[in-house]
Amino acid sequence: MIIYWLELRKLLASAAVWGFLAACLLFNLFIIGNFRDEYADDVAAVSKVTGVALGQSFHDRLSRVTADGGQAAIHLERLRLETDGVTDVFEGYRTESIAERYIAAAGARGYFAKAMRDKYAALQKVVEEKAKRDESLSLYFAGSTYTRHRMLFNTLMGWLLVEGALIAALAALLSAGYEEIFRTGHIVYSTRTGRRILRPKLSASLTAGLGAWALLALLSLAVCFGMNEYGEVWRSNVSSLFNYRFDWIAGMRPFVTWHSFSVLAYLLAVLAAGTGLVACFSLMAFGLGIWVRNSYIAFLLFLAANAAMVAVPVLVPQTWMAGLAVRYLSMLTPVWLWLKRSLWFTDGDADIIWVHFETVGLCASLAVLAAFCLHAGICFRKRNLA
Amino acid sequence: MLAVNHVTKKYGRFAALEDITIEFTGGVYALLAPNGSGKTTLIKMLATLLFPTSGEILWEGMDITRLGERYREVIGYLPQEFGYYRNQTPRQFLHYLAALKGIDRAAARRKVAELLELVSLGHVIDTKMRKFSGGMIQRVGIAQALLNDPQILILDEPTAGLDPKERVRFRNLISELSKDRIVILSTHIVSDIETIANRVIMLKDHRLFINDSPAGICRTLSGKVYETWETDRIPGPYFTLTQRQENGRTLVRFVSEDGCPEPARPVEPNLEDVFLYVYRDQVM
Repeated sequence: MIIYWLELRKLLASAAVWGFLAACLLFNLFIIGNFRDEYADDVAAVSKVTGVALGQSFHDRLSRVTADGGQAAIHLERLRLETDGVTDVFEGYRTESIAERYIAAAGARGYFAKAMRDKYAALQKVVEEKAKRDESLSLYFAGSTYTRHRMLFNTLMGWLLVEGALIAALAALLSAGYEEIFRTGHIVYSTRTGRRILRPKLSASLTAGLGAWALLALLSLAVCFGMNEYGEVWRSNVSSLFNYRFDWIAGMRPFVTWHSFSVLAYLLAVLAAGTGLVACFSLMAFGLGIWVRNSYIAFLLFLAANAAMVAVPVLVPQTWMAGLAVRYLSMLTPVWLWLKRSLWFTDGDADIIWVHFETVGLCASLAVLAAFCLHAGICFRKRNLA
Repeated sequence: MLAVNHVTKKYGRFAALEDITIEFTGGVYALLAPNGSGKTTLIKMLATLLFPTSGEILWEGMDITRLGERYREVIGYLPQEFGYYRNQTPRQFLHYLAALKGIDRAAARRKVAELLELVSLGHVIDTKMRKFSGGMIQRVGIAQALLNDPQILILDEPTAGLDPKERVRFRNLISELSKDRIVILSTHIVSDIETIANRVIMLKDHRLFINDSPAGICRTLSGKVYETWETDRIPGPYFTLTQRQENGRTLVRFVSEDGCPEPARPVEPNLEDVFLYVYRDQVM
């Protein structure tokens, strides 16, 4: 345990890690500062009075809300118009056609076409459940929902995940390559602990990487929620009728999650999945750092490996079954999970044939990358350290 | 006992060491050979950083690779290129290495202070090492090698960077330490080991050339080393060992295999004579 703390202290003493963390935080503040939506703030403020469940009670309370004129009055009127006469979007909503469009677009056949149909058959049941519970009759940010949702779960979360992945990779490569950088390997690896030091090094780099990601997320989100009013919107259902998603194959359609998530629960779920994703990148970098003892080359390899993962499904011909398998399996890799971050906990899109793709992808990636690190560690124990 | 049995180390087709067999029991063993002769390769194998291509290294009859940490806990190692964390103090660095060596905190605290005093670094125990001279860093290296009170002390070019006074102190320290342990010391500086080595091991062409006491090694040139002021009067082939200027004249020390008449006079060979003669055809 003491070796773990000493390894962690070595990482925490690194100016590079803290410098990068500070730069990321500044960048996030710039992004957050550039996003202002006063209407959404007013909706959030009104939600404290009206609640977020759309219905007669909501309209009664909304009618009693007054504004002093100016922009607030305009926003109040806009909210009344947007919420007046809304209906449950899940009532009578059918998902089969989405499956067929995706199958046709991807040229999926055999098992893959069946998996896609099965996924949307399962989604149909979820939609029916949501219809029974009137889940879509939820305020969220009314007409500003799409932009606010995208800003938090696509833009900001996207940057946070990139930054978290890079800091975790930096910490992992620093930890794996520390003795190489300071030329202390011969002393360290000839001690009683010897090459088993990789275990505490891995634990320390995971702690440092995930800790940095948590700190970055905590500070960035605190600023974001400090500057943008959420009020009762936290309790809104994320599958609100005002929330939607768009792709060129299936067009505009409701934002359907496999489970019923409030905005707060969805945020926590995304943060939990994000933590898993950052851990994946940390493991990947650590494994590479052991294989390639030079941290700079290892970092270039880390970037190249992720770029290759993005390129492979695009470059592999989809006219044969193996090509389709490569495409669908690639979506479970960490870099594709990041690219599809705005679809986590939903049915995904034409590239995704499995239910809960983010959970499956994270579990598979963590298992594969842990095995990769284990293998790298075993090889390292047998390696000549000239 | 530490035994190296028929050890060969190859890198592809290049053999860095071939069929080396040595037994280490107690005292100072000096690995004396020019650079590139395989000293560091042998030292690294003893420190478990390299693995033999063939042959085995045994500690108390068991293969050191299989013994793993049970072997590593009895060794102290100072590598040729001693790296350190520039932003740490000697106290922090030695505490870190003490943890890696499995020494408990209380014992480490006492040992670290004691060893830093021993190597005359007690006054800079909390100074960051980036401010240290090469000699001071080397002394930190010596201290860390002694942290676990090792039964086998392996030192690769330990006197590099030390000034003459420090070298003498170091020699005395090694001599003291060797009373109850094996000290394996690699060097190409004869004066480092001349007075303290119990056995001198010389490698040539990547093979074991001699493993004998310093006196025994010197005897190999007995009756063949001469000195003269008048080299132009020396008949036959000879190999010049050293030259010294005195009162505007040159005193030449040389080896002649066939004996040498006046004006050359025979002298007692020393370890440096043997070293220079054995490695006469190698670039040093």
